[in-house]
Formats: sequence, C-alpha cells, structure tokens
Amino acid sequence: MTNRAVPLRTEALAVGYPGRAVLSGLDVELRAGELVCLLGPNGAGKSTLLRTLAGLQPPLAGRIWLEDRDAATLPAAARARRLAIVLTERMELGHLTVEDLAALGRYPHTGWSGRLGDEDREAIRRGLEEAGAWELRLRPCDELSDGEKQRAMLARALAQDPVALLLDEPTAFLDLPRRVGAMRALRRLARMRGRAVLVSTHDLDLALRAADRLWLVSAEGALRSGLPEELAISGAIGGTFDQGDVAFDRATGEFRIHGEAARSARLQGDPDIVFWTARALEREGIAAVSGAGAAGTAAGDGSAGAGTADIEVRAERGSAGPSWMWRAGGAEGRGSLEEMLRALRA
Amino acid sequence: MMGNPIGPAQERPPIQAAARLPAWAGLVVLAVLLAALLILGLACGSVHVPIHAAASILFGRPVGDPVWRDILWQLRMPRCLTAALAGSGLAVSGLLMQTLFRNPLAGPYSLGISAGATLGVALAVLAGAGAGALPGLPALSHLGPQLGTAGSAVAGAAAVMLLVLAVSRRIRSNSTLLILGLMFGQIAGGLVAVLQAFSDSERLRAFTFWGFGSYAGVTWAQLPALGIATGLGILMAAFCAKPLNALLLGWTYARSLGVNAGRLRAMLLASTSLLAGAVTAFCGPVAFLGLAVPHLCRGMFRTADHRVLLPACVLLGAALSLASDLACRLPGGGRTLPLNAVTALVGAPVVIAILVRRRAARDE
Repeated sequence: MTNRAVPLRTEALAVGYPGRAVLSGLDVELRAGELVCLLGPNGAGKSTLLRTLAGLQPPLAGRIWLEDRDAATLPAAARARRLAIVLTERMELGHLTVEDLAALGRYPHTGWSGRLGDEDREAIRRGLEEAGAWELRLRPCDELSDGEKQRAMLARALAQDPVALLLDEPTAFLDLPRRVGAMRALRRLARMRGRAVLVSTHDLDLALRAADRLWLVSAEGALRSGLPEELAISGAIGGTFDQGDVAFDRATGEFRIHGEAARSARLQGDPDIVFWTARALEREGIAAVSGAGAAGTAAGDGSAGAGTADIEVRAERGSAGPSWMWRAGGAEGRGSLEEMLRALRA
Repeated sequence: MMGNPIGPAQERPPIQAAARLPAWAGLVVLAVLLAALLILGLACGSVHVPIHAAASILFGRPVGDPVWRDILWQLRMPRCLTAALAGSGLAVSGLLMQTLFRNPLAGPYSLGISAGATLGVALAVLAGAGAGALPGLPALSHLGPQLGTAGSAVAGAAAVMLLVLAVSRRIRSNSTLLILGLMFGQIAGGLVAVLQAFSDSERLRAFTFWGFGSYAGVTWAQLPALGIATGLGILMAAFCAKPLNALLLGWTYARSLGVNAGRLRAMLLASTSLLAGAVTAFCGPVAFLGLAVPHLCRGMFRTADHRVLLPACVLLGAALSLASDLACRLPGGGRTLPLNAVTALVGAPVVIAILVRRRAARDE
C-alpha cells in the first residue's frame, strides 16, 4: 500500500448525491510530479468529484487513499496536511492581507492557538514565492484583481504544504495569456516539489498542451484517464465533447464548426499568412485544400479532393504588408484579406 | 518569469501596506482607555466624587469619606462593572456573529437575538414562570428567580440564533438574512406585546423600565451571575479564535483546512446565545454596541485576526459601553438619557459608514 509516488488514489469510487450517483467505478490515481487536467462537459460531475476527493462530501461508495492512508479514517487535520483545494468562488476578505491569507494555510499544522513557528513562516514564504504572490504579501485582499486574488489563494494552498493539490477552474477569470501562464505555473508547481496537481478546467486546448495526463469525464458518467495525445488519437476527446455542429478535429487538436463546405480553395504562399487565411475562409464555408507551401492546413474533411478547387488564392508578404490575389470562377482580384472575403461572398 | 508563475506579478506596482498598529500596543492603549473610563464612571454622577477617590477604590486602597465609599461601592461600582461586562459581552457576540454569518451588519440586535432574549425575559417576568412569587425584575434580590430569568433569556436568544443559523444555510444574500433577523425580532416583539396585554400593571411597569435598557438596575447580588455568564461566553469564544480565522474563508475552505464545522457551529451558538441572552436579561436590549465595536476594532488594528480582535472587542466594548453610560448621566441634576438613545447616536453612524464604504468599494 505504501506508495509515496501516488499521493492520491481511488478504488471503486462513486461520487454524487444520495440516490443519484454522478460518477462511479472510478479507479484512478494522481502521481507525484504530474499535472492532471479534469475535463468534461458541464454537469458531468467535475466539481462533485473534486469536492469528494477533498473530503468536502462523502463518497457514495469506494475508497480514497491519500498516500498510504484511507481518507475515511483520517482525521480532518491530517487530511488537510496532505491535500489542499482552491475553489472558484469569489469572496470578500476585507482586512486580511495576502500574507495573513497564506498563513491560514498553516491551520492544520499549528496548535490550538494557531501560533506560527519558524517552520510555518518558512512554509508561508515558500507558498507566497511559488504562487508568485510574494510582491502582494502586504496588500489587503479586497484590493486585489481577480488574477492576484487567485495567486493569493494558491499561496494559501501551497502554504498548507500538501502532497496533492486540487484546483477547481483556476483559469476561469483570467484572460488568455494569463490562462496559459497559470497552467504552465501549475505544471511547474507539480514538478518542483513532487506534488500531484489536479485541475478541473473547460480549457481543452490548454489542457491538451499542458497536462501530463487527462481525466476525461463523459456525460454518461464514465471517466477515462490517459495521456492527452492518446485520448485525442483514440477519439475519446471527440466522443466526449462533440455536440451538434461542433466537432474535435484530430488533425489540428481544435474544435471546428461544421458548416457544409460549399466551396473549396487552394492556398499558396507565405505559410503563416496561409494558415490564417484558411481560418478566415473556413468561416465563410470555404474548405482549404493543400497547395504548395500550405503545409498543415489540410484541415477540411477531405470532401474537396486535393488538386481540384473552386478558388485559387495566393497570399504574399510584400514590402507594404501582406496581400492576397484570388481567382474564383471568372473573376480575379487583388487586395486585402477583407476585400477578398467580400469579393468571395458576392 | 520564475518568480511569478501565474501571469505577470506586476499587474499593479506593489504598494506598501497601511501601517499596522502592533497588536500589543493597541491592546495596551485600549486597556488604559478602559481604566480611565472606569475611574471617570465612578467619579461622575449627581454627587461629585474626586477622581483620586474613585481611583483609590478601583485599585483597592481605602477611601476616606464614608459617604463617598458608600456611593462608590454600593451604587456606582456595580453599575460600572455591569456596563463593562455588558459591553464586552455584546461586542464579542457581535464579532462572532459577523464572522459566523460572514455579514458585516450581523449583531445580537440586528439579527433579532436580543429580541429572542427579550421574549425569554417576558415569559419569565410577565407570564410568571416563577408563579406569583415574582414581584418584578429589578426588585429581585435573591439569585434563584434571577437565574431563572437569565436562563429564560439565554434560551430565547438561542432559539432565535438557531432559526437564523438554519435559514442562513439556504440564504446567500446578506441583506435577506438581516431582514429575516428583523422579522424574527418582530415576531418575538409581537409575542411580547401579547404577553403584556395579559399581565398585571406592576409587572408590566417593571418590564417596561427594563425594556429601555439600563446598567443601573444590577446589584452586587446579581453581578456574579452576569460575570460568570459573560466570562464563560468570552472563554468559549477564545477557544474558537483559530477556527474563526479559518472561517473567514467560508465553511468550505474552513472544512478543507480541517475545521470541525459541527463543533464550531455549536460552540458559536452557545457562546453568542449566552453572551447576548445574559446581557439582555440584566441590562435590557441594548442596540448597536455589538454591531459597531467589532468594526471599530478592525479599523483600529487593521486586521481580521480573531486572536487580536477578540481581546480588542472585550476592551473596546467595555470602554464604549462605559462611555455611553457616562453620556447618559451627562444632563446632570438627576436627569438621565435612555441608554439606547446614546448607543444609537454612537453606533448608527458607524453602520452608515460601513454601508457607504462598501457601496463605494463595489462601484469602483
């Protein structure tokens, strides 16, 4: 049973509410040093699973092992020394400074009076630094931006010094560059001190790139665990998320909106510009077919056979910026992307 | 990038935190303030007693003039001690409620807990839980029935507290909780009015005077009961200081940090009911102290740490309560102001300031 490399493991775990199991038969593990992303459609039970793993609601069946101990037999403080959670809920923290907030993470480590020892102060300092909240430490929490607040809450969880760290939608309130930064940071946190980090997220694209492993929850209540690439190749990601017109494209790792592609275009020219031109054309219901220099943009579903195309486009990076030349039917034109799209629409 | 893993750390330039008063220094200041107000409270009144005589009796030294000694010892000392105990008790119960309900306007009065205690007192005094033996509240000199009244008040406070706790689990909105507290208070008030209609005039008069709120009615014989009740309530609160800090993050985080939620809730229920109930039983329903003092302490110490706020509330609650009682005697010539008029004049502006500041913070 003793396995330091697996901070958290479930055994035939069922989660949900009395009379309504949301997920069941879960046999998964979080390994030390790994970032795992928990993905699934809304209402599939991601939060319920996180809450159950954190001991905030009882499992319906099965067991949760924290390192070598059965979580059900673990006193609350002992569990809190192994596992920390960061939730999405916004809150008013008033006069609490970021440092005070991080100090609350030492709750399960201190005596009845909550007096902080040297070890506690060291853990608080480390938590603040690792979460990137060191510069914020003297600021009152109610003056922080959403991103700063998130870092402060993360610092508190890290000060708790857990072997397993659970985060519920940590990127929800952040803009895209910060989301990418946050996910990379979480991965580094997992690597640095051999923690196991589990993150629930809606950000499939980000999870595919950053996670060491995915836990994929389907609407039917099944959980598949695997490397992101394995799950993409096997079609499991498409099976979980495809809905109506939106489908996961295995070739690009992106979701595509399936309009029926009425026309096709052959693209040539500067690869970067061709890539974005293909995106723009896709929006207009025009599928791109590969031409010379358009590597990686053969993103259509193959309905337009290579070589035959209704439209020819050549995109070039000139001295006065990029320019487009196009030929559709009998008409020809030259100009900006917007001018081309307008012409093709007509 | 290494130093700031989640996004750039410099979203805003780091500013220096507002200078914080060291906790011990602030508490010493409050203790000195309290001692000064105690002496002033002993010295002031219809009969002038010099400050030095008042100070002597406070520090246990003999006082020359026997008239002064009698006035100080028999009249003013119990009144001042009552004021101090009541202020401490109300302030601490207000602090606990504000953290428990995560509501800055929670307090024994605003949530209807005092009204529940009033109903308890009314049941004991007007309906005569002690049969016909009760000649009226202030006249009671022996401890038995007095404890009955106090117990009844604590039970009334606990009943409303339980109701508020139960609904607070379903209600997320702060203002809704306050309105519900107000409604519970109205129901208790309605029941009291019904009891009043059926009680004889002597009991009614005793109850009505009690209802104005006053520190003057408590005698030496009754002080130990008030002292033990407030002491016990504050002691329980002290044991909750650490989990109360965790509760600042809400119940979910508190539980994830290892707080035993059920035990903490029970402790806070017992402590707040005991404090608000006992103080109300002996002094009548006193408004605003419980609500305002915790905010004044937070502002003064610029902290949310209950290990600082609790002793601060004990000291400042007592001091502000003594100051209010002093203000009641301000007109002189035997004329006094009602206690609740003074506490309202001091406390209501604090509440208004809180509301305005919160609104301003949200609109930014």
